Amino acid sequence: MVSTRRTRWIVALIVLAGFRPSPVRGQTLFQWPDTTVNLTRYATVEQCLAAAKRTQWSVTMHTVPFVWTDTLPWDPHRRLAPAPEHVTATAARCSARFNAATADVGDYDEFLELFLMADRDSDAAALVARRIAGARTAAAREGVVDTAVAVYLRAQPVRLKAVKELLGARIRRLRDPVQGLQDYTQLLFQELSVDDTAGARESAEGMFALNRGITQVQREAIHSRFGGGENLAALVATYALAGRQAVLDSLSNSTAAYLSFIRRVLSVAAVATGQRPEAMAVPLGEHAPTLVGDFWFPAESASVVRPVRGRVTLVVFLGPQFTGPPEDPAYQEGGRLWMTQVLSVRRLAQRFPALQVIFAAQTQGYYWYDTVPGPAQEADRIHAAVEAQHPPPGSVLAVSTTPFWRLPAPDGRRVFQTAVTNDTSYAFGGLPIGSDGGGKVFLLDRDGTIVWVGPTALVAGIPGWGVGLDRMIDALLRQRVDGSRPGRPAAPGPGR
Amino acid sequence: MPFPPFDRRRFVKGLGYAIAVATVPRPLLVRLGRSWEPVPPIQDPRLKELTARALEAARTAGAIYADVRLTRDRSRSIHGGGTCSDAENLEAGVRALVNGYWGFASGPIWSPDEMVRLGQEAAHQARSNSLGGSREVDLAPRPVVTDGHWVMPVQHDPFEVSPFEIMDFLEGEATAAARVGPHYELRNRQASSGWGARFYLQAKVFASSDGAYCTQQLYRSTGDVSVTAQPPGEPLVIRGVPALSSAGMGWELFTADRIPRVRNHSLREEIRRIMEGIEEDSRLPLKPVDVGRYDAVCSALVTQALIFGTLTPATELDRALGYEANADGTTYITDPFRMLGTLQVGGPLLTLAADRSTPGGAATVQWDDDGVVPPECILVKAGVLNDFQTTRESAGWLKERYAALGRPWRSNGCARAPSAIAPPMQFAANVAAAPGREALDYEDFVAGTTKGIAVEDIDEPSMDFQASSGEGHGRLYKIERGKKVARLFSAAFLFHASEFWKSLRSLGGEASLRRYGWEEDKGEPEQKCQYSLTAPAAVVGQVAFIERGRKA
Amino acid sequence: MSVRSPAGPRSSGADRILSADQCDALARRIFALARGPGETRVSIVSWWNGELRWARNRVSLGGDRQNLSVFVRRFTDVGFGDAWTNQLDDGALEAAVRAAERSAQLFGSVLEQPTTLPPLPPLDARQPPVWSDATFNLPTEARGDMVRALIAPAEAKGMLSAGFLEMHAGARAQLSSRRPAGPYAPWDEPYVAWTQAECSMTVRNASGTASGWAGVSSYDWSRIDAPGLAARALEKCDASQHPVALEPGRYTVILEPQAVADLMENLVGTLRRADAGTWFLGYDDALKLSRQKLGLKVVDERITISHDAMDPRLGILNEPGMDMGPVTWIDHGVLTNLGDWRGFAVAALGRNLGTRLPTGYRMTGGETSISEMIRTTRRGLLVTRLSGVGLPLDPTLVEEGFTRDGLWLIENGRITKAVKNFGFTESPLFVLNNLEQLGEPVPVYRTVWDALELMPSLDQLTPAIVPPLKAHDFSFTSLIDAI
Repeated sequence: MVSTRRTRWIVALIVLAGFRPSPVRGQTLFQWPDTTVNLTRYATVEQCLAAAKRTQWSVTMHTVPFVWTDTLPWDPHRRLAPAPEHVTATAARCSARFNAATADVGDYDEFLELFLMADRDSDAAALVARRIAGARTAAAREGVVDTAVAVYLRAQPVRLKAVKELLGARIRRLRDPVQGLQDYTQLLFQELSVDDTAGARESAEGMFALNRGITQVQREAIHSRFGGGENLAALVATYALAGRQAVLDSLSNSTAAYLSFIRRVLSVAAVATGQRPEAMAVPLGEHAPTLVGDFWFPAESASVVRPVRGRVTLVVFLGPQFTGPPEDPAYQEGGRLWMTQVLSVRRLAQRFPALQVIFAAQTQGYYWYDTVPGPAQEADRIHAAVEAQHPPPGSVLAVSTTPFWRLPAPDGRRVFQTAVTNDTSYAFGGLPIGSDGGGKVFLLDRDGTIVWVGPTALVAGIPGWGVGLDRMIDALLRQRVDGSRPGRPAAPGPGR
Repeated sequence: MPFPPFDRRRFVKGLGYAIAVATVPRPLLVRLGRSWEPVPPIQDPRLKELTARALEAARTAGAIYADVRLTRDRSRSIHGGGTCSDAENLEAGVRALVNGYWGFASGPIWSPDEMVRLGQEAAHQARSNSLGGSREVDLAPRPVVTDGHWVMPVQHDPFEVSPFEIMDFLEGEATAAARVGPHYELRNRQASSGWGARFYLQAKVFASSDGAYCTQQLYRSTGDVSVTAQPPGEPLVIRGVPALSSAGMGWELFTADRIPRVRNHSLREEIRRIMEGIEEDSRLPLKPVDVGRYDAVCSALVTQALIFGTLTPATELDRALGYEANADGTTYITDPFRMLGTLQVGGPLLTLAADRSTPGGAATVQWDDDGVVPPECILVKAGVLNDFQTTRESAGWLKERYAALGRPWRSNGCARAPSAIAPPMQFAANVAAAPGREALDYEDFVAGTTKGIAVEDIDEPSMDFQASSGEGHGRLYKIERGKKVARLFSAAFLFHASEFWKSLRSLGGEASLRRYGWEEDKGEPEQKCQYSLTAPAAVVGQVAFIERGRKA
Repeated sequence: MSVRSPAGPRSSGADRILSADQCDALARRIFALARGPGETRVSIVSWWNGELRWARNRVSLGGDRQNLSVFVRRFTDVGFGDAWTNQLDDGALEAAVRAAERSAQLFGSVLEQPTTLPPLPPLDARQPPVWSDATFNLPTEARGDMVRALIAPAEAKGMLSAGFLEMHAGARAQLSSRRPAGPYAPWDEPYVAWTQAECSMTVRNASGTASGWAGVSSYDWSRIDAPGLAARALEKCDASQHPVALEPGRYTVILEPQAVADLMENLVGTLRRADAGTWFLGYDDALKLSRQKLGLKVVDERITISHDAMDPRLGILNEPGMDMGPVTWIDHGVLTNLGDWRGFAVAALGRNLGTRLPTGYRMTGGETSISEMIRTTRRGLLVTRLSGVGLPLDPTLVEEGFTRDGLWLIENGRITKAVKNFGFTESPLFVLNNLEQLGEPVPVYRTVWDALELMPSLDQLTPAIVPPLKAHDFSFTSLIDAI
């Protein structure tokens, strides 16, 4: 029981502590409401999703802008990590009023996303089942499966088990090799991305099993659906069957060992897919042609034949979108994507200083209402655009000019006349590089032999076909030039 | 007397409390006597003392009448990009009348010294102008409110709602809209960035030298939202959401399930209907207009737009008498005194009322900036000019006319300034057109038209400087046998105010009434104030439709 | 400028706008209030207005107002937040800074992309003439006296004069707490203060059947001949009595300089190549003279539209990032330059500065006086000014509007009748291609943009020097009753 005198003494202390003289005048206050939100009051699923995503952003915004994950050692468990607690709690509180039995199936994909964010997997599965059951046509049902799979794959952690169940059920249900191949391919990539090697093997085996029984007509249907991508899928499946480490071991041993290993595996895949191994149109083992260019940056790099012997090389073909003018809306949209590719290549090169990087680009004029610059000016602009994106030090840029014809004003669009030499020489019998609107990346060993090829877009982030572009570069660098056994593998860890 | 034994635990606890109190961010404190209090809210009587100083200074400097306005303006702007920014300003303005001349002074400081300065400056301004010819100012009388306080009733004070909740709600609506079709989006009105929501709260003090004193807190909310659709290979379609135009409401403007006369359903449903309209439109062929005269079927929004362009400015008395002649212009009511009560401005269906008391109206207040409680007045009665929008001063010009008509002499309460920085002047009140008797609406009118043109939405009409001739263009459709059969491109209609309103054939019923917010730009330098217009759908006969942009 | 005087009526020289030192000190106080690392950006705008408005031959309001705006942007590690206030005491500034920080923490707007632009070159040290003591120091009494002198002639003739006289001063500074190498951080804009004066009036007859107008704006009050304006407005009103209705159609017109300026607004507004942030509109939709016309002749070769910021009559505010040297957009009819924002100039043109837009501009003319133009017109119309000119309807810049405050028919070299106003549908491009004669360019009335908006606006001054011209086949499409 505090005496009144003591109370007064304490109160005086408090008052004195709070003393702060001030003038008598008006003043602005910027009062702030209580920002806690009564989530249970939210009436619609969109609002709940907005709240959960907002929470997600506020949790991740302290990390996302600052950590570039694309050239860190690929962490297969990233997708398996649980969502932050706050996000789950927010989603759970908000979604409490919805349940799988009564939610509006018209918005099932939104409810699905919300339930997954709230860790309500059984409700999610029940809702999907309810929606599938309510599908009137087969096409609608498969559409639901596709949508549900997409939502499951976007979730954090990724719900691979549910995806396997849905796709597996579909493969069994439809017994359609075309759709089945597509589903197996999707499963394969997802499993590789989370390092589920056992699952990947299963999917690869399933894929080859499916392939064994298909007719020529079906094969053509597959080709028209995938446009050649089915061969790449088979290659990846091959890698999966062979095992990543075996591929890397053979590569770090020597290119010859790698190529013979790959060919062995490819022949298995080819038999399974009914193709000739050589016809899989992947130019592994080919000797990389000399790169030509009308303009080189730096200019003195033209004096050396590129790719230079004795160095592991990355040849990066920059697609046409890359070199458009900055005010072009297509550049604004797509150009930024290419921007990150150059930056990713730079960060890759930072980890491997011995890597030679060569960028190959071509002039193309503008789709824009502008006076067309001469080839030298355009080459300068391309150079400036690449420089603005901080390419690796020591990298070179080869620009080839191409003649073109411009449509009359006011259209003014450029019509390609011929593909440049580099694009054709690196096509190896297929379409010229860039004809599909994108560029390609070639990984060459010290002798200039092509050991890997892929779209430029996949340089950043994706663990190159399950093996990892960075691991392949590492393996190449460990190859001993004198043919002796490879050295100890480089220690894993964040880029130097 | 010795202190009691030192209790260390209690001391530390007390000190801890004191430290906690000292470190919690809190508003500036003001000392009154022995205790400290937060800075006064708008209803605090100490603000009356501030205003009294200004009035005294003006009076001492020779003003026969003076009034003071103090405003505290808060606004909060929330955008779909995930931003929330606040602005908060204080303003003070003093108006003084010396020998029939007004002087005005304003600034951003609320302090006793500044009040004195403003009062003296206002009188000084007035005196400097009064040395010329004489000028009469007859302020219409009004009851003196000595201690009035009013807070605009809103369901949800938007400044008390968590900005997160606001973002989640609107983000949810944007997601729902985008789900309707891959090319639909919710954006801001110019479609240049994401949706926005803006809220305003003005806390205001009015004090006058004849003893009036009142405070008000006025809310205004608006959505900077449009529905955009860009089907592949087609031009961008942008449609505003008029249900989110300015209103004297709070957060409920967005969240209410329905707002009578604004929208009869949820915001989501309102947006869905807009998208449905876009879909329907894309199925109609595009045709040029056959120049000629047609019956025009106008939606409620269009009727409002036409009132906005013609009748609202025409009935502002200051404008009619040439007080805006050097700015926007005059009106077609060229002899206001004679025409009051006699001039036919429209057909017998047209009755237009003005008020500043409609709940949710963007011009709604308890007292205007003259301290007047704005009455409801009938501007147009059965097509005849019946009254004007006035302030105390402009009502003074009507003194004799009112007497001749046997009406009370009073201001219609339209004195207004967007904040205390600006001097009050005549601004539009909430204007409402009376509906027709039958329960018909826009769709009914379309269905009942054999041959005509439906005018569903127009940009602000381009008016001449007497608010009399104008051109309207926007979404026009050809009607054939009760159906919209084509969209008309590059079409416009010409109208002449009096002819147009006299050609009113029908007006929609009560259920077709819509109330949306509009912005009036007036004065030199330009000031903006918002007000609400309520109008039904309408059919106007024999309107001239032309090709837009056709040269002579 | 002296410290704000706390009480008493305004004496000239009293502190109405903030000085450079005051802005600097204020910015430092705000920087000191910031909690946590991260840049603070401050934008301070202050303005003062002394105005006099009259109607019906009597001043309706004389006013003196001032205000300011402090904009604070706080960057934290996750984003930025903004707040505005107009109070300068410690409590208010602290509350604003906290509000900005709170906004940044809670909402974490997308961080600015690292700029690919090179550092700004040193700012052009020349200060365009934008400040006039004559404007700033004109006492209230002088304004009152002046206006009485302007009203008297109209009143003597039984006409009604309405008008507006305004003296305005503004100041702006933008400062950043972060100072990288080089004199200015990208956000910084050096302190600049400017004045603007405008005087315009409309004289109408008592029955409202005639109206005349005259007006001019300038940063420098001493360049405004107010009595001359009053005389002209009165003369026009006098001469517009008893207007007759004419058939709309194509006429040869003599446009007075104000009418030319009114018509040109849409044209000068479109002399830009690319707008930052409007790429989504698609340049085909944007109603601009697109780059395909660069180097082509777009108007008569007698027309040159250019600007020199150091010209005493054309001063505009210095814009960091813009080339403040002389620029010519249309040179003897050929489109030679388009306004470019700096990002575009760096990326596509290899220049480190943007090209200005014609916010202020001079248009060349000729030597033919208006009376000479009238004398050589067989049949035509003389136009005082245009009103209600809307946005262009199509890429040829066809626009609609009305004539106002004085329209006369010319027949056989003489003004014969006052004419009722027309609505027109015409394009400045066509008019400038149908030129017959040009007169001497003079300053016109073109008001400050965003004068009382509290956000800093770059285009605070918009002086224009424009000639009268005669052109044929001007399209008047409707007759209006408005006078």
